[in-house]
Amino acid sequence: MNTDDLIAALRACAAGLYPLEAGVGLLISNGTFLHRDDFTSRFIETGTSISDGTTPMAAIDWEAAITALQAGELPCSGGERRILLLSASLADGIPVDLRDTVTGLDDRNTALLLTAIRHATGKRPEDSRYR
Amino acid sequence: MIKCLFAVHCRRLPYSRSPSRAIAATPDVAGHGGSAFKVYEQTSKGLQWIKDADQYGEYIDGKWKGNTGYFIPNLRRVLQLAAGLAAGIPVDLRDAVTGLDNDNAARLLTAIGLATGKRPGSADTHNCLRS
Repeated sequence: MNTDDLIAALRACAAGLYPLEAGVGLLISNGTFLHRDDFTSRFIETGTSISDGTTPMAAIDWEAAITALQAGELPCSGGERRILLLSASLADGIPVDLRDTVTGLDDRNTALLLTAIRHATGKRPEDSRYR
Repeated sequence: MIKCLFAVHCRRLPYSRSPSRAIAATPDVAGHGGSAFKVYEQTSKGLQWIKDADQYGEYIDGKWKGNTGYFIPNLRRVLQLAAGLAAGIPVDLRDAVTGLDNDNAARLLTAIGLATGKRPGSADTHNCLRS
């Protein structure tokens, strides 16, 4: 499964749950982790929809990813770490330290986070950069 | 029980709750019409005013209540987010963000902009919130 297919599968699996859509959307829009084999091979499970039997689905094991991140098994920049933490909190409810994560974001990631928060509150973005 | 709760606790505490019912009382600062306490019932969305009570905890029947303080929305999520930003107390964004109304969601976006160095009203903040 290439990255574009993986993104479509992740969106298909998250569809219908605003916070999950937002968390997945934030991680996708950041554009780092889904291009890393050490992330996709360890923390993403793929399958096929049981409703139609054809739609590819994919789900992130957020808890395992955050555990690996905290254990230093997922080397990344400070901004990437913060985006993963914020995405996991939006998508899976994993508590996050906002004082640390938010204050360290650059402008681009801040804009992505604000879009994701709007999304989680029920306002799906129309911005193609995010989607 | 309610009367006892009022008489014993409300003189000392700014806010007290009945242990047996989802009822809360707070001292009435204005004290109009002999009212000593505002009495509220806890609902899933916040505190709903029921009646005013006198200093002995007796309900004052037929007393009119204006819009101010008639319903106090649940502010748990706002407090959690504020504490997360200000003091780094971990917060579950899936729960906290999805439960915000439009006004508080807008306040959160402004607060995040501020935490990243963009003061409210600045051009940077305006652009960031729009993007």
